[in-house]
Amino acid sequence: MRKILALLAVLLLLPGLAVTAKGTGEKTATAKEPIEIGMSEFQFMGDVSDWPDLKAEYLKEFEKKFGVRIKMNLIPRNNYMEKLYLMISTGELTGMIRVFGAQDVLKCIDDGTILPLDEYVKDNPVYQKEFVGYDNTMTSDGRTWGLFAGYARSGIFARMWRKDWLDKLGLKAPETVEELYTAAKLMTENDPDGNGKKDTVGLTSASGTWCIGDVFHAYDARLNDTQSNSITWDPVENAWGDSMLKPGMVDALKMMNALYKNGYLDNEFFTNKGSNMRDKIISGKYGSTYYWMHWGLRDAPPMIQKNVPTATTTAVAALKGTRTTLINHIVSNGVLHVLVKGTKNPKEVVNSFINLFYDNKDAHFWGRFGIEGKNWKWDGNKVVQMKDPKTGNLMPTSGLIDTHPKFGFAKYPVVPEGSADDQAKAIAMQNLMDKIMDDGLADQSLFNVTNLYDNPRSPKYNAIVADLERIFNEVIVKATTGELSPENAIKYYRDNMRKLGTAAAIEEMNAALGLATGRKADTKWKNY
Amino acid sequence: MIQPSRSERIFQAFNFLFLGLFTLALLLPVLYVLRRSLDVGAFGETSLSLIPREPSLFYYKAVLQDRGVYQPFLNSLILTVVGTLLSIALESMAAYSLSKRDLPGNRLFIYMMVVTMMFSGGLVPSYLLIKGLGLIDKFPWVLILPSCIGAWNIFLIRNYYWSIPASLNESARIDGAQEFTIFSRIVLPLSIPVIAAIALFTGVGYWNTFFSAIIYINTPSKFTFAVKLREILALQMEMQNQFERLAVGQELLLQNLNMEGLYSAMIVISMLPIILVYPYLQKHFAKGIMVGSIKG
Amino acid sequence: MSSLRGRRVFTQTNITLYLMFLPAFLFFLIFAYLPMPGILIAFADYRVSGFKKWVGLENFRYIFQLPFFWEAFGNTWRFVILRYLFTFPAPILFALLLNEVRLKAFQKTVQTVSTLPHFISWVVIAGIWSTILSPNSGYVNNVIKALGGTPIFFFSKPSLFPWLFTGISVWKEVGYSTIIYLAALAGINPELYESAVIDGAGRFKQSLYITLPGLAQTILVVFVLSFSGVLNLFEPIYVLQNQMIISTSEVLDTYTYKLGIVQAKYPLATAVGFFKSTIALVLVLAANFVSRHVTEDKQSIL
Repeated sequence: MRKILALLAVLLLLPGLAVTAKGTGEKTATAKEPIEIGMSEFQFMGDVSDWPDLKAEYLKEFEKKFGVRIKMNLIPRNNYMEKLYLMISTGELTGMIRVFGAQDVLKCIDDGTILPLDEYVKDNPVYQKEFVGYDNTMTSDGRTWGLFAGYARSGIFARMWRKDWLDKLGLKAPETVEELYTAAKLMTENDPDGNGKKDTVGLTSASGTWCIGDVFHAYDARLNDTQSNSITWDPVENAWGDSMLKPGMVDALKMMNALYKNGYLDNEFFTNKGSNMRDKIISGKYGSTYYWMHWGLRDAPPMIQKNVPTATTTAVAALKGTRTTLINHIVSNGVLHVLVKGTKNPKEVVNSFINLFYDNKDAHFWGRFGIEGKNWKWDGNKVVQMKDPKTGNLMPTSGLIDTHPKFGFAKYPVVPEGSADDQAKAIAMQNLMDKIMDDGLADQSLFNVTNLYDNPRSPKYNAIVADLERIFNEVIVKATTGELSPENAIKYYRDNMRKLGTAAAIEEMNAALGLATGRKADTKWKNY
Repeated sequence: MIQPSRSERIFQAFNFLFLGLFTLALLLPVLYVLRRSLDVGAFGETSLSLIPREPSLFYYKAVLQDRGVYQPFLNSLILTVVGTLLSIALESMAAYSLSKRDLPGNRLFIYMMVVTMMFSGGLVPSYLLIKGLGLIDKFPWVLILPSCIGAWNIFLIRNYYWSIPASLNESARIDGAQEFTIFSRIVLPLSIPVIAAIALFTGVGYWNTFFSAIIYINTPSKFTFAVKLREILALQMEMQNQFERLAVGQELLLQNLNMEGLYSAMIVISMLPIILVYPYLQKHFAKGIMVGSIKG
Repeated sequence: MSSLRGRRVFTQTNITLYLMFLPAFLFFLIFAYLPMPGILIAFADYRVSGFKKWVGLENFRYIFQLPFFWEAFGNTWRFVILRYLFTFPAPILFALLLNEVRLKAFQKTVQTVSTLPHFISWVVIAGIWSTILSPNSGYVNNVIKALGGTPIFFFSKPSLFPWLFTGISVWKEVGYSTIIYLAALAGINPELYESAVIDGAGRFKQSLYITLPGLAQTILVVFVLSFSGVLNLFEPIYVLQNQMIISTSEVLDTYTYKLGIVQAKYPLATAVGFFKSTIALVLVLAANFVSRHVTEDKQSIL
């Protein structure tokens, strides 16, 4: 009897101690408390368990140098929104936190968990210049809710090609969709790697249309900003609509079928995940895909060269076809910071945030990269990203904010640490990518999709989007494999959209635009 | 000695062949992962070759030297050992109590446990509870206490207790032994096989602690190995396709997306504890089997 | 009054037994029952900003009329049935076969190796299997081509997927799941084997009349308990599914995940969970009831 009591006592005491133990490292009150800004980021010095010492040092040094204490909340990247919502809804999290996009902001507004910013920032000149001036705020029903963190220049999709194959086949980089077909055909049939075997394929893609959307865009049957369905805002028509109803879609589907049945397009393009597609390109056996430009031009070639030492790549911003202007989109704004309700001293917090990261040269780069002297350093008017002496890789970044080409500080180029030669190469690559983007904007083959036009603001749409995409993909599969003719596939789509009530959702999206911009959207699209 | 009949010998041969092939089929992916962890030349691998192109211990060195890796590994180790001991102790006791069907309240306790196997209040109430108990970020207890007792385990242990002849308990009781003594001196030692099995399951469960760590831990040095594994996995395998689609232009996307070798090394390392522990536990399973095979 | 139908409740033995159950009791009370009222969210319009109002069965009605909900529901049951036909018996068979192996070293090796696939995460397994079964360069299709056949695009055929998935599940889990049966085998009285041998019973008869019955109780417990999570199926499907086979590979958990229900709408997520839990409870109790007629002492498993 006594034994069991003793055993129980021990077993219950341990947890009891755990529960009642005081937290470690309680802050002692200081004479003047610095402003505390709560933050959370997708990646802060690597992933949540990476570089714990560096993380701690950064926060300490930041407070010492700028007099502002950042309370960093570590949220693992792949469960980010889940944990974020949980912490906000239980009051664990306050401050300027980062969310993925406008949809999340709308949800927060709906849940009543964030504060509108207008009152706090309207008198702040930095805010007026950097945010209002460059259309970098997210608004809803007349109030400002989010500040865009910026976007990395040339973070766009472009079609990359194996240049060495193009050269061997005597082709130039395809600029029209017919040229794409020819290139894909020759790359599959004419042994571009010269090994005597028919083991190459022209095009590959992942998750279906994600990495082949430019074909659709060229036929004036544009897909949305993530190439995942056909409900998109069209700059030419200045309205939301469903491209599936456009005549060009029939041609696009015919092209997809032609590419697929002849084997010019990887037949696993629906089952490929992004990593599968990347591996296929790197293996050297596949010729082209529509993917992040910086991956195709900068990151992939060294990896492809491990398998094929003579491989080189080139990129084209947009394919022309029936559509010759405003073909491919650039999603301009990126992710957002919002102010959580319940933050202490909200006005101070948001203004410190803005003034620090968007008006203070050093703080800006501390925010982007990390500790000056460890993660980055000044070199004249260049910012040098430093490398880890142990591994030779770039140091992780603090990533509190990103950059925006129009922000004042974009004038300081960023280069990786290395020899003058390496740095020159890096700058040249960045310039190349910038040029591709700028040329595209200049000749209007590319266009900016800004705030308001990137994501539909429509609860009806949100409610049906998953089912809509399922049907969209079904249609693409059946039309591409030839199971249905393009006309029948589109008919199938229309029947299902009627059932889903997509028409009402699109009207809602257009109405939201009208309310926000004060101009009526030009609704030329047809009903289902 | 009784000679095995001819049909028995044929059976033995087939059994041997079948199990051998089956084991090979199971082993191949493991060997593939092993190869990826030892190969620094594997770029854009679309084949399943087992031979490294450029053999090297590079990834293992990277793993062992990176505090971002060995810290979570140690955390998971501590968590597993402490958690498993606590769980086994509490579960085996509870199972004993519940194995006495004539104890008043037995049915009530049983159904109380069954309901918890299927119904739960949800994430937000649980989070608020943990927060209210002051357990947020308290390693390792916040990862142990909310899940230290599993109804499934209790039922299995309890079921095993029933297979122990009641006569043993009876004679001990007649000799004047206390209930707890019967438990610790007779029942428990005879239950080693099931306790070993449950200890294994529980240990693996603690070792794989992922979601609780994500939700309840905030300090970088306290995360578990499974969290670390998933993060590298997400970067490489892009389970969150959504993430890559939506996170436009993040500077993190400009980083190298080729960490499969590192990930493979981490998988191999995460398999090591079981490879070391399992043979030790196996001898507790072997009694009945061994006896059967000797007699054959 | 501490007596119950003429017996004293609080005997010293009973008190000991209650104390032994106490930590578990407190555990369930605090960590399971205290948050339990959260389940009522399924019947309310509850936002993060607070409780708005009760809506009765509205959340359920909304879920049941979603376009692909019932298809996902049906698909889930297909996987459940295949699971009980193949994935459930496989470890039992495996344990029996292992039991028959004479060479101890071989037996131990097979046992240890067979558990390893369990520890490789599903994402890696999905990658490996899609490579093996790739229509262009996978091993299986290479063999098929060498034998003169046309390659089969395995992961593109909806009707094939449930079988494929079941096969991969068995392959991954059989070794680990068999551990509990091995433990049960260890508990079979060796004297039974001895007397059977004396009676002239061969290995096969021994398996049938001693080993299997010895395992029966454990099989039954695992069987009854397995219904507690009967409709739960997320990660393995999520990593293996693709748009070509979506019509048979969308299950409840993946569907509700894509709808954003899990992330954004607590009442709907709770309602789906409640729906699944209710079905699970009914099945567990039903299985338990049936078990009473199957066990030797006519007592239920639970």
